Amino acid sequence: MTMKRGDVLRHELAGAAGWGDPLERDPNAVLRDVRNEMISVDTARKDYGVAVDIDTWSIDESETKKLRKAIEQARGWTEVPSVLREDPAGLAS
Amino acid sequence: MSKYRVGADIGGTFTDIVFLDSDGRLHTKKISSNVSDYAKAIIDGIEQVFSDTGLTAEDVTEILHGTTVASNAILELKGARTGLITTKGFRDVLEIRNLRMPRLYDLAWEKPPTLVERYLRLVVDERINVRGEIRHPLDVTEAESVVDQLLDEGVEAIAICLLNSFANPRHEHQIRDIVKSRAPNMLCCISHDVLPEIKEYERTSTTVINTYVLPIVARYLSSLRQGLDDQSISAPLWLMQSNGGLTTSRDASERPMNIIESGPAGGVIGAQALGKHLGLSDIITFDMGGTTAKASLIENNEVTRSQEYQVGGGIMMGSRLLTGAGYMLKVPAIDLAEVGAGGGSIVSIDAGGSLQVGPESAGAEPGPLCYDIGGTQPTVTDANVILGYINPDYLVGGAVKLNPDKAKSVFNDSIAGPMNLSLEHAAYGAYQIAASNMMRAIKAVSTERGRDPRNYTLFAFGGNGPVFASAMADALQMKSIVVPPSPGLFLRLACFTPMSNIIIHGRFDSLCVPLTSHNSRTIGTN
Repeated sequence: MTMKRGDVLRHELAGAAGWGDPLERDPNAVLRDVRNEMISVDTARKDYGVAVDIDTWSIDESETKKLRKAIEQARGWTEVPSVLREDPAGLAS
Repeated sequence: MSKYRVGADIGGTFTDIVFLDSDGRLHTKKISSNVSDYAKAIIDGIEQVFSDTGLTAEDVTEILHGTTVASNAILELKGARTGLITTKGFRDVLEIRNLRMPRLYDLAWEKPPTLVERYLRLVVDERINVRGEIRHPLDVTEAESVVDQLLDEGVEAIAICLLNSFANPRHEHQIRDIVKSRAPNMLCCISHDVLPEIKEYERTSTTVINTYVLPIVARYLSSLRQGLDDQSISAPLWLMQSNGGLTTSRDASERPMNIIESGPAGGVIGAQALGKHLGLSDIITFDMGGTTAKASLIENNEVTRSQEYQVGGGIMMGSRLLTGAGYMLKVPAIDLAEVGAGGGSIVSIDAGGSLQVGPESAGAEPGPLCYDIGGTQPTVTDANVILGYINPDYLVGGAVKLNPDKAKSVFNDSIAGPMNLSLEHAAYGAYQIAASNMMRAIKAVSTERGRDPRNYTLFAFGGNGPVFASAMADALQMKSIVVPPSPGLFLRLACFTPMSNIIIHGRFDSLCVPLTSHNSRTIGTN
């Protein structure tokens, strides 16, 4: 690739891998992430299922419950998938 | 009537009061620290000495004080709700830190949370270059709105730290004036006053720590003063600083960053003075209390000082490679290596089935089992009681009676039984592990710096120091041990040494000029 004066190269990197199920993250921790501009209000809704009200910096509890339920149902599984070193249940076959 | 100097020191477990007159007459009092109101324990202790001895407020000429109030506020994240104003682009300096981690490749390590959360760290567009020239003037309207935002958030104190302000504080002064005009009583620290030195992380972190603990220290010192006044004690109050010198309580309220390691410094200064008296010039001090153990090196009768250190970094030492675990404070301090091992350290069996000691501590509450005040887990002190190293009838001069049977039965059920060891064997194992943990601190200040501990005298004090001194000296092949009288009160006695009559004030500046043959002699002299 040839760069000319004034060109801008923008390379966006993923934040980092996650740890655990986002739906199990403490909603208050998600609220803090939004407040500290680590994630957007949209990400909080879509990935964590947490409804954050940025005017009062509070969590809409009933909306959060609904969002989390909807995401969980759309997944079609209930537990976080994990890498199995062995295959006791014969899942691979 | 003789006049007394009073030393008061608050530890995590006990508060100690020492009265000493010019003839060497001594009255001491050791009482449990009052975690919710530290000042009260001191006033209560002084009151008790008055009623025990018949002394009165007029007999007190001065009060010398070492305190952990400031370091506890940081360790427990209970400082003021603090806002930070910094230069645009430098909002995350506190978060990025200096890329040091205590353990390389340890994926489970978590950075300590910043003392100011990101949403309370706001930026202004301005730029002063390293020579102090204004490249981009401060946008006053933006600065006003940033200050208003922090005030709306209900901050209790504001830290201001702009890039290169050490070279020219003009913009920091402008922002401070804006804060003062909008909230005249708001506590506000600017980095140019706190640490006018190059390096933005060190400067920001130090300024933030100072601001974060300022309201707590100021409130504590004023309530202590009030308590003394209520007892009609008008004697001046002096604070021990981390660098081993004294300062006024007023200065300490304004620059609490200087008294963060106030307690431990006293013992080292005391050892230095006593060492001089005994003709011992090379000493390793070992101070073990209820929660932590600390070692420091005295060489040719000089204490070693470091120019920066980390608050709350677990094992803490001057070596740059091992820092990164705590909160950076660039303030001169007596160099100490600290490990989380004390009399209250909890003895447990880990997942792999081996014996562990600490770093959790039972502290003063619920305390070791043998205190019989609610402790449920075996501690190092319990092991010492089982081994007969501590006399259960004569702790704190007999004021605290111990219950050795409780220590024995729980230690037996939870440690010796599961490990299939005899009670004494298990207790001795715990003792040995505690001793080897603490030897790491001694090695950190000696072997790891090219000093051979065999050439030094081990100076053991603190409530638990002497209990472990001989085992450690033996393992390290150190030939002599000094245990001062009243080792548990040594930190307080140390306040009275001639050394600690010295008031030390440090002042640092950064100077950025090319070094030439013309200025090499005069540089730094003006």
